[in-house]
Amino acid sequence: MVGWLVLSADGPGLWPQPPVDPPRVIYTRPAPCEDEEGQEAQAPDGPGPHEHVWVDDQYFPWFDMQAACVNVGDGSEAARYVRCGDYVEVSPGSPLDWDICGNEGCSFPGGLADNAVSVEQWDDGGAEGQFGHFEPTGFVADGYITHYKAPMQPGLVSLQNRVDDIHYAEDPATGQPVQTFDDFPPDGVWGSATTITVWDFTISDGAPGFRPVLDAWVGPFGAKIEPATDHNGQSMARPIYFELFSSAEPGYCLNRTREHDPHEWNDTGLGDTDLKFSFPDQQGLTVHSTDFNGWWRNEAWTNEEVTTCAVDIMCLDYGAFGTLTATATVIGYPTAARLLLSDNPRTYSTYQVNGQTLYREYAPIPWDVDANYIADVWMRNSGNAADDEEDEGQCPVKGDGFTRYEEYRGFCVNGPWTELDPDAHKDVFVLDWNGLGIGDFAALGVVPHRLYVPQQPAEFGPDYQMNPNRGTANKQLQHGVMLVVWVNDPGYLGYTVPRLNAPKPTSRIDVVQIQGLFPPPQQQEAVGVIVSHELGHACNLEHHRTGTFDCIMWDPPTHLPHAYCSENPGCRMLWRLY
Amino acid sequence: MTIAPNRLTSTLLAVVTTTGFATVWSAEDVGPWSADDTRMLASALVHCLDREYREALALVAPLARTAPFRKELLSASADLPLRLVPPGFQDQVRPVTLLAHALLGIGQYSQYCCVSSAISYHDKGAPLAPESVPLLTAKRQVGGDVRAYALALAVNDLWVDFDFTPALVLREQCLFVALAQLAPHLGFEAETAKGQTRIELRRQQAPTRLLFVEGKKEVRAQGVESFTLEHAPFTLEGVLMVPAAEVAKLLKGEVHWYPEVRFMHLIIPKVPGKPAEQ
Repeated sequence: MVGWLVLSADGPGLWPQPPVDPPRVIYTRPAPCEDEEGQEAQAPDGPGPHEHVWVDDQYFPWFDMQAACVNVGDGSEAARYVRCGDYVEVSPGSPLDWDICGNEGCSFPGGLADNAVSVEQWDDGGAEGQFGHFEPTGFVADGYITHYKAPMQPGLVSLQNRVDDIHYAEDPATGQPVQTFDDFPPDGVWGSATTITVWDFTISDGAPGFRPVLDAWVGPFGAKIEPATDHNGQSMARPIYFELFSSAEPGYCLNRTREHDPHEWNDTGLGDTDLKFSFPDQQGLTVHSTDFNGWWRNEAWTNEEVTTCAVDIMCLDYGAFGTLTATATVIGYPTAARLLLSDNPRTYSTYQVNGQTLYREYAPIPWDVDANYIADVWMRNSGNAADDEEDEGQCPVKGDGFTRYEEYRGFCVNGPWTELDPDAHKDVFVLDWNGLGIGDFAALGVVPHRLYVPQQPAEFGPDYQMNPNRGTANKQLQHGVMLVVWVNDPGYLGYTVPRLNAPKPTSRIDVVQIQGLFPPPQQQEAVGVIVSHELGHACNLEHHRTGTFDCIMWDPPTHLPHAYCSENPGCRMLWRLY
Repeated sequence: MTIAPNRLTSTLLAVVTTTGFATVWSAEDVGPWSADDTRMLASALVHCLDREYREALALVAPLARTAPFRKELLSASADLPLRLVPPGFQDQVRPVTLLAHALLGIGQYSQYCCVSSAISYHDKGAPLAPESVPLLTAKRQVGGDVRAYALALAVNDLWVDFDFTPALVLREQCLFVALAQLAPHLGFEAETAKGQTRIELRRQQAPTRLLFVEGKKEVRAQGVESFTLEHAPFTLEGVLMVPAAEVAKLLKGEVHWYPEVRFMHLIIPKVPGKPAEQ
């Protein structure tokens, strides 16, 4: 049992006095744990073993319990810069508590008992960091405190801890623990704060919802060092370096390019990257595009030390993909900026590797989480880049020769650019050089794309390639069918050689023979039927002289049918595009 | 269509029209060919594509006469303008093809069929089928007024020159052709030492000699039995005319007569070519 004896109602009055309880002296006997059960404590009533009379520390402040500043890391100045979300070692410093025994002959040297002190609480001033320790499974924000996890919000953070005495000490005379003075206040005292700089270097997402388009600006991508000043009041501004990693597909879509002589920065030729910093230099930036062994390397850096800087990116390809990084030597070593999705609530882009969460240290252009080079926002981003899966009933060969990525990257058709649908019907390009039209070709089940502007030969490549600017995720060369007015041998209203499994597939139409065979009211219709017939051949269909008569592929189609047969032999299911 | 060799449809009349062709027979692609010829061929093709058929005909006729089946590779830009064909385009063109096309263009349908049938025989070994596109085309275009169109005669893969006068004559429902024009394409050389009233044909294979005399139905032959024609040869404008179908029969050939378009195709077996043609 522990009893309390009031010695005096007034203290010495040497120090500012909080409204405290009356001074206390505590008489101690062997530790309560040594008490025998049922034995009551008795007041001393004569000479006997030394009784400790612990004096209230408030009258002897130099013996009062004292918390210490939090130690951060190795105690160096550099250790006081902690990146958001990073961990740093913390320790309570050297808190101490001496209690003095007022009774003569105390067994403690000089009557001073050295109390242990326990850290009762850690605090970061509401910064929302976490104190904890590491276990094999990772950081645990609880229990024994060895580390501090910096909050995700940059700023100056004051770290403190509250300590309380463990009012027991080992009596040198007996070797037994004795109760010492329980320092006031009963829940301990706070140490003075250690202020650290919780910083971060981020780059913003400049491409939310972005789908690459020629000559589109992407951004801004804002790089930011926070806070602006550190715990010493020094500026955190640094030079910031940007590097743009970009695809370099030839041209700006599958079948067009833009090149100047002399070369201009926004050309789209071979080796030109699809994403570039704009020229002339953006304000406050030096932009440097280097022809690096035939490939362009795009860099930009701030002309001064800054805490914020924004860059814009020019997109020069409908299938562009790349990343933007920002680097700054914030604290002694180059640091990559983390991708910050939102300031409020502060949200970073992270990803998982082997169960570990990592920060994305680049800004994607465009967003492509499934890494198939196709913008996630594209409505047909539902497979691999090299997919060529369109199927048409029982057609013997899947696909149309253009991969998902290529159909996403798109084509120019008579000038305007268009993307295709890699999941629906098969696409066929018809190069209608003389404006014949394509008749009933669509009845085959294909999606025909008719290039009817001879003045734009740049929309197809050598041998009538439709993907001359192929690169990423290319499966094969795919050609268009050239449709040309020609002089055929007598009896051949049209003929097609080679077909869509070889370069230069060409359908030659002899309009004069067609017009000779049919009366004027039917001539236009007949041209359409013959064109459809020949385009069927281009799609590797054979004509037939048995089976379904009402079929464009009937030989000869002089009865002017307008459909491809579904059976006998079923031309609609027999064609293939390569 | 194989018909009796010496009977023509009674409705046909012997109306002969001519074109501006020179008076020689066409030949296989054996003649000399120059860069100028290629240019002429390309120009003829351009005219055809531009529907300028008479200009095309004037250019292609000499080429079709000397090397009708010669294949010449014509290319965009180099030979043909890009307004007509795309860059990179190239194709083989034969004079005979352009000739047929031009004849169709100017409405010479029997001659168009004649050349078409010669092409058919050259490429497929058979004359035009009755339902072939050229015949259907010609029949549709000619309609019932067949007499307005020239007679035409093909022998195997060649044809009687459309410009020869008198090349073809209908008389007594029989098609007569100038023997001197016909002979080279039967593998004979014509000997006219005694004038056009008596022509002897000579060649290496049997029959090695055939003697045609004006007014006489009998054809004296060497190597085979003599042959009697149903129609005696006659001279017209100083030229000995013989019944074409009967001569073909003499040489054991086939006769295909297309009365709707007044065109005859003689298929003469194993006609040896001239040395230069081989």
